[in-house]
Amino acid sequence: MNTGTYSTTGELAKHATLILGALIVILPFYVMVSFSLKSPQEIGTHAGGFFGSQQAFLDQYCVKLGNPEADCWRNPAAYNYGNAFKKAPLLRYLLNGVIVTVSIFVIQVLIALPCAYALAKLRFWGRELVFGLVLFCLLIPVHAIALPLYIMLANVGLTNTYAALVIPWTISVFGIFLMRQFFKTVPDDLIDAARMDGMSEFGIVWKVMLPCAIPALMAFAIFSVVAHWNDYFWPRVVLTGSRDLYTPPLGLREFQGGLDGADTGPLMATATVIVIPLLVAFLLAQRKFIEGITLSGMK
Amino acid sequence: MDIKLERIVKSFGSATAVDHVDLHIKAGEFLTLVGPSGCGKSTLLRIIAGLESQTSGSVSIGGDTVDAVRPSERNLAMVFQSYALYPHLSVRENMTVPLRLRDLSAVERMPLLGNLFPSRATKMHAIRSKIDQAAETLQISHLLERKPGELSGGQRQRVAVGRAMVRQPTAFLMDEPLSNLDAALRVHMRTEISGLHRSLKTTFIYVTHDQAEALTMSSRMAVMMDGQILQVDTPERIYRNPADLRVAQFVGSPRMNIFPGEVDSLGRIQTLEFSLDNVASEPVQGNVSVGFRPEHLRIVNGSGGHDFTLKVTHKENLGADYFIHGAVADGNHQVIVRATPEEVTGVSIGDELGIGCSKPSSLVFGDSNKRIDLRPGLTQ
Repeated sequence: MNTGTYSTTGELAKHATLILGALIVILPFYVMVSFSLKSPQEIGTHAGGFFGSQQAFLDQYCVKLGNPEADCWRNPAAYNYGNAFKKAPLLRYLLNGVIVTVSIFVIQVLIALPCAYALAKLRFWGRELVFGLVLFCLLIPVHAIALPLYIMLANVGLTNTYAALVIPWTISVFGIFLMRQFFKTVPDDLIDAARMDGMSEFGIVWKVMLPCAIPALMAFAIFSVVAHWNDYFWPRVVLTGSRDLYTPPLGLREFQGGLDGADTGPLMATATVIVIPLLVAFLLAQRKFIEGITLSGMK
Repeated sequence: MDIKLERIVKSFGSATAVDHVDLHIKAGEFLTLVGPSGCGKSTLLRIIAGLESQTSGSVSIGGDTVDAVRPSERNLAMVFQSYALYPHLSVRENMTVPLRLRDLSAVERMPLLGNLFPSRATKMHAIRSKIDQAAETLQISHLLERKPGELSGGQRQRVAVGRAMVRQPTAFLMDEPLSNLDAALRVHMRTEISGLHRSLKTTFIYVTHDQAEALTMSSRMAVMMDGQILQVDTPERIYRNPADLRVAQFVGSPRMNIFPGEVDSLGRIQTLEFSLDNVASEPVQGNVSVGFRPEHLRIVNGSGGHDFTLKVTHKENLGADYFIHGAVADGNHQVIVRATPEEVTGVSIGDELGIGCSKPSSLVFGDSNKRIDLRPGLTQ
């Protein structure tokens, strides 16, 4: 007997829609990876499929510099990725990206968890008002306060430092909100048990609430790391001088003049290199998501 | 060490959860706080634990006032309804936490650095052997390396008791510890916890809404209602001799049957269609409530000899006993009568039965639910 009567056409339509949506999302990445492997001619003529023919091509720039033509034949993939690292100090940018995103996330957690714990589990006068303010802060777009923030940082002489990249993001109201909602689901008994056992309130935050909140923390980590790794706007605002502090997205600027010519390949190679750490981090986190400690020991 | 509560009041805003409670818990006794949900029993337990601070009044343990003492320093251990085990720690680690925090200094607890202190190793060794011992008593030795999520409800319950036991506390505070277990296991754990109390000889303060748990386990029970303790006494006396109508109705299953009655100027008590043999020992004229437990009513066969008649609405078979539910002839009062299976053969729903009352067992309550003492009536 067919109890769950799904109409075949309905299912097909659903899947077709989903596949179309997935294609639209994946297509730019496909183009990015594909271009990063091809020679300039192949990019210009849309030839060579996904991988390109991988036949050596003549580097015109190399010829213009006066080198003999025989020395200027290049493998497309090697040329693109080689140039990505040669034309800009990409490793340095990646390191900057890691320093900045990790610092931001660690400090965000250090601040958001005690705040969320207080808002979720402690009774104090004005708690609802404070929580209301947290929600209000969620509504403020970053771009609206970018200029005042920049002026403040400039006045204390912090522009063109790591601090300028990190400090404005250290208090994440989204993080406070997300963790507070999760902490609400942790049973009060568990906190009382910890108090009976002699834990301090900070002890409870780090040794009881944090381990219980790993899945929520992972979700927040993905949100925070992706947002700040990919952020182009804020580093562009506060980094006005030295390129030593550039984060990976700013590294793409090195190729901004080359969209028409031979630089498209290296540009796409750079973009691919920037995306890979995020993908790796996400895959690792996803595993943790599934393994994530549940509160099943509680009920 | 005795635990004393004096004039404890706890209000949440305008609502009063605990209303001027005095209670003296003797060392080594099993005291049950029992009452319907929302009566303030859990709040009272949390005040004893120090997890909640009272609005006024004071708590003393062994003669020392502990109102300003942190929960962990009162040397009490608590077992929670939801067990409240740390989900990310193994059973052994769960049981280690209270001892580590109590016995090790802050530096000794530090990761890596703590290992430099030779005292840490000795202390950890002592803790380990205490846990092994407690685990053996509770028969959970084979579960020590598991996480709470891998345990059944009954096993988690034991671990929670074990975590409380290892501290060797002045008193165990238990907040409805059996409520999350299935019926059969609950009955089994009742005897286990009573046995644990006998062997540990420590004070147990046990909160429950289940009057059966209170009757079966406690050395004394305190019946709470609306934030007040109505009566504190042994289970036998609470059952036989309730001081308050609400206590009488709460304790005992099925509930006591209550009929409206009237006391005349000579103290004679009239209810339904009959009067009691005993008379009120105090001059209380007016309306009263007359209570009979189901076992104090019996089916009277044949005409005559019965005190009232009832129309059977439901027969409840408990195997050894039957409970006959019915309505008194005037239609206003529901009655439950306990009967043996022999007595109910041939009784079917809709029948009219004659019911006799064991009049000396009747309990009479006056205004404001207070019990009225009876004495044998000299003039019949």
